[in-house]
Amino acid sequence: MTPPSSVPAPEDGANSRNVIVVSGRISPRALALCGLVLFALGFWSGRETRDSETVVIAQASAPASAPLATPLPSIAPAISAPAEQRSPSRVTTTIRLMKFAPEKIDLHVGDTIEWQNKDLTPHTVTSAPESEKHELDSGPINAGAVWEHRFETAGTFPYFCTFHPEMKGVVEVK
Amino acid sequence: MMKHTLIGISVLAAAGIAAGAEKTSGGAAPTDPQIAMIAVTADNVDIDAGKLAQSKASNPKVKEFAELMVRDHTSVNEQATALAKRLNVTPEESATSKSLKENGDKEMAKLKGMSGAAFDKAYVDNEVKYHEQVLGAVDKTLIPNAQNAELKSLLESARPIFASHLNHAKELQTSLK
Repeated sequence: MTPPSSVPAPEDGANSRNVIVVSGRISPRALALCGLVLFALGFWSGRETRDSETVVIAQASAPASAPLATPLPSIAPAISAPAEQRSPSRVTTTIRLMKFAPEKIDLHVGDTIEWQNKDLTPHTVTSAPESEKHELDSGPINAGAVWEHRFETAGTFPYFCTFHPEMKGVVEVK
Repeated sequence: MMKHTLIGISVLAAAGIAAGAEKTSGGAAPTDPQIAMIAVTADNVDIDAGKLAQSKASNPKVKEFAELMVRDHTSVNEQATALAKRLNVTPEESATSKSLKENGDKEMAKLKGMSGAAFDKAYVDNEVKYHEQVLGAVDKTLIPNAQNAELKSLLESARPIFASHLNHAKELQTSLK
């Protein structure tokens, strides 16, 4: 097969470098296309540079013994795991022997507490009078029943049982 | 006069429970069916008194306490009855359960003849004494003699409830003086 007239036939192994020599008149359309390709290559190059900078930041906080040339994919998850992306958890508080156990619970926004009444009498989970946010109002939780609440905002949530006011608990949401 | 009568009834009630305890120490320990009946009767006596107080008490705090007694003792009784059914145990009368019932009936008769602040005070005074006696029976007779683990556990779970009621009744008693 005869090669195209604009491309000279390879001589002395020049084909291994894949050099294309364009001769003759270049149309404005071809020039525009070349410009577009060059712009795209420049953008890609810049992006790789920014990724490299990110890697350096990540390695600065890594243990001193960590290799500097750690491949990007192994570092990326550590960078892209901010606290707000943790999956919400569910915690259980048991009501038994006239007590909330545990009495104090630390949570994150979006977490849920499930109060399981394993006592012999009904109880309530009600925001304490001193609480700034009165969002806990279970009504009677009968013996053997369960009530749950999802905490959507941060803060301190003291609560008590309206039937047996000596029963108290507190939830800290961060 | 009324005060002396109520104290007399309370002493009788105490004697009834104490008699059961002495009998136990004499070798005739109550059986699980008898313990179940004592627990159910003790609850029923307090539920009846509480229902009466819900309708007759004049002090809102006394009414609220009576409501609590009815709610809690009804719930405890439901658990006790369900457990007895599950264990295939038929509650059985004993000298102690009979004494509890008789003295509860006498107390009810006296309270029915009272009204206003006098009723409130008499009801709360009796609740203090009654819960003291029931707690004594739970600690000295019922829990130590219960053979079935689930029955023993139920009694152990009921104990802090009765203790809470006693504290609540004592606070109320002080506020009425």
